[in-house]
Amino acid sequence: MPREAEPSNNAKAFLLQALRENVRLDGRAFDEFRQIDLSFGDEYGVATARLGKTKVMVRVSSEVVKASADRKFDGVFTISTELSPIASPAFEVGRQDQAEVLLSRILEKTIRRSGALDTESLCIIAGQKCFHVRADVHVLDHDGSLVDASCLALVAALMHYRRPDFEVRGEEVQIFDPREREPIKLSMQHQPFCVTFGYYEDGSVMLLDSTLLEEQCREGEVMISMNRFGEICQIAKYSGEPVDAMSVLNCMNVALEKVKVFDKLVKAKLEEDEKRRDVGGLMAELSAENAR
Amino acid sequence: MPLDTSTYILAHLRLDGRRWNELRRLQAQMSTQAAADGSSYFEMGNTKIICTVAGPQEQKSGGGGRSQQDKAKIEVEVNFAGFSGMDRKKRARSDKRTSEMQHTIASAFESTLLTHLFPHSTITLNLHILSQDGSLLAACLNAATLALVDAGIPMTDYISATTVATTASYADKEEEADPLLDLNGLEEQELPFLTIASSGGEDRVCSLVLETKVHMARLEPMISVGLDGCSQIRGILDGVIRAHGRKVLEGKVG
Amino acid sequence: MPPQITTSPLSRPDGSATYTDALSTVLAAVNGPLEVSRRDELPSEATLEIHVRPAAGVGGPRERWLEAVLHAVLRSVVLVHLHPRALVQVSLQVVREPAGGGVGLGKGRGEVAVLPALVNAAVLALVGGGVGLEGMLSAVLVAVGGKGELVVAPGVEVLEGCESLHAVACAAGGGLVMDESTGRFDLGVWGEVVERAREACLAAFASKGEDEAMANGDVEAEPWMRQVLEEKVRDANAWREST
Repeated sequence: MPREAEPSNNAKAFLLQALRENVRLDGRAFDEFRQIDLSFGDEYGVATARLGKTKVMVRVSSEVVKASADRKFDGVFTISTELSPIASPAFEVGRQDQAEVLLSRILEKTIRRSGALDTESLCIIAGQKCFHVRADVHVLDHDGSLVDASCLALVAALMHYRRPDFEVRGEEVQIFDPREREPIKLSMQHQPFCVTFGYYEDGSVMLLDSTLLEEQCREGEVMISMNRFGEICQIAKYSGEPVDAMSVLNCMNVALEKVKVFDKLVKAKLEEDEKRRDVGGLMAELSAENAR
Repeated sequence: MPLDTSTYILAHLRLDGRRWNELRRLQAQMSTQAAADGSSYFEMGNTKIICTVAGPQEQKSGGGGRSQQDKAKIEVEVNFAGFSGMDRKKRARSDKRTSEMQHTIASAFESTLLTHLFPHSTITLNLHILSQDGSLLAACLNAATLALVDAGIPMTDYISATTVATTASYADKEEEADPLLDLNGLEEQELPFLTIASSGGEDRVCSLVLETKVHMARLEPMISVGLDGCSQIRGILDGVIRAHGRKVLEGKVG
Repeated sequence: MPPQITTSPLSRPDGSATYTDALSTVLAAVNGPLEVSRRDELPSEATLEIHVRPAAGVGGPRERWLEAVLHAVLRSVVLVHLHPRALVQVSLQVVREPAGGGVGLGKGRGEVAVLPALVNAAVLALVGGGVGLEGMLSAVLVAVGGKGELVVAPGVEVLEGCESLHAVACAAGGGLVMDESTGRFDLGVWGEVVERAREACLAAFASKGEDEAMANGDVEAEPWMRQVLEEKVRDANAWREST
């Protein structure tokens, strides 16, 4: 299998020297994100996030399954992250790459363990039927900051998705086709986002939203997930040179600021998308709350 | 599994009778396995781990390791004994949690071991978990430090690790929030906690893993108590290593 | 409506394309020639590796079948002998499928319905990646309706009520390189279908001069594939003209 091309010594030295002189190769400030672009598909639950050249598409879908015996009142929520050669030829199909394991663990911890999606609301009949919501994360283009982009796309897709409506009559369950009854939004308890800090020069330089080249040259990284209320869902600093405890704490404040920006962006884009769909105010008419 | 830890505020004593900043009993031995290049046995309360080190040895042939010709590669394998936990559950080989743990341990040591001295070679760490009762990752890191010292692999510093929890996860209960040092299994299930590893003396965070939701205001006390705990553990590890070294010099062990 | 195409939407792969028609959207990426693993190495030709990833869920037997069909089709046009002991990797990501993976279409139909989009996307990406091809290739979906009428590149409504579905691909010489059919039909109908499909396929990359269908204003016969590729070549050569 082809490996990811290592940057040359010259390229590395150039990047590091530039950082020493407080310059990033693409001219951004150290704490500046690349152009963030978020778009939604025609169907509910499809979101594509772009951070510069990095592009991640998330598709949320659901089906009705039998509830698991030990979690009677919960629905099922799974996140699947499979990296394919589309993103980079170094990703092999069918073999779990280290990057894939870490991406999936971080997303799992950020969204699933922190209870961002209320799984109890996915239950139809306790112990018998529930929704299985699955999110497929498709990384389409890899130019660094995979985790941040995936997390953004995933949260946006979950907020965009509508599950089919259902009605319970005794033991009978009727699931309505989206054409019969307007589908329903998932109930989200909070919206966590992930921000990755790459550090250089013994922790004195902290970069946000690294490109692939910057990622390959960095001494280590700290991944922080939190929501806009400042609740941290996950911190992971696995590798790299030790850093000062103080600078980790500083990262928290920067991360909070960025998370608020993400949060606003997602909400604005969702509103825009809703307006686009709601041609001629049909939505209000179709809403189940109206008297029939 | 909801468990009542609310009694803590009444007496400021934890489930096992410790105060907030007390470690559990730490016990460690080195050179426990004669066949391995380096080995250790480490106990942190009821968490018990055997660690063996093989290497540095020639890199196994095969495509994977070509990328790091100029440094030794660190491989970590974590084994959970079937009897180690409360329920006899078998973990799949491809379990992502185990794989994440292995990655954390391997990359933590990449920064302290002088791997550039052994190009084209591999250092393999085998961690056998005999009994789990909280602070698993921290115990693994401590055990690995001892085994690597025993194997005589040059390093810049020890890595010592511990866990810290907080008694209140939200911002509003300021006065009730107490950081708790070195968690056991029950506390770990109940409270938000983080694992912190430090090396190189004061205030240098080597790895930091937090997996449960906690407010950012809680973090500062947690990290500072954690670093304090790390330096306590560092002292204990140092004692074990020096005692072992003395024995070796006296010719009592091989 | 002719299919919507974006060439080179991705930065990492050697060649990429998105293909959108009335039914589905497919994103294709091509890498190659690459180093091949010892296990897959062929001494006299390039190994063609194809991955199809569904929009939702992980790949199963359905995707493996699509991969097998695509492998045979693409191998017939890629100049595999140019790059012995090498690898050409074609990854296809299905972005949108008719009625969520063909659930509402009846057994076997969803797979056939998505095939032409996969083939066309793969060919466009191969061209974009500069992989040597013997000639052009395009695919089209033909549905036979309840009353025996033929619909080329049908929409979802036609698909739901049709008798049979045929995914047909033709190479530049007019040779048939793929035919996957499902449903009930007889040999006579099939012959008609193939004729219509061949016309549609060839029209996709026919040069403007010799194409009479264009004059008739037949929308289906618009050389969409040629137009896209010509435009791409023009863009790529823009610097040359400006200097």
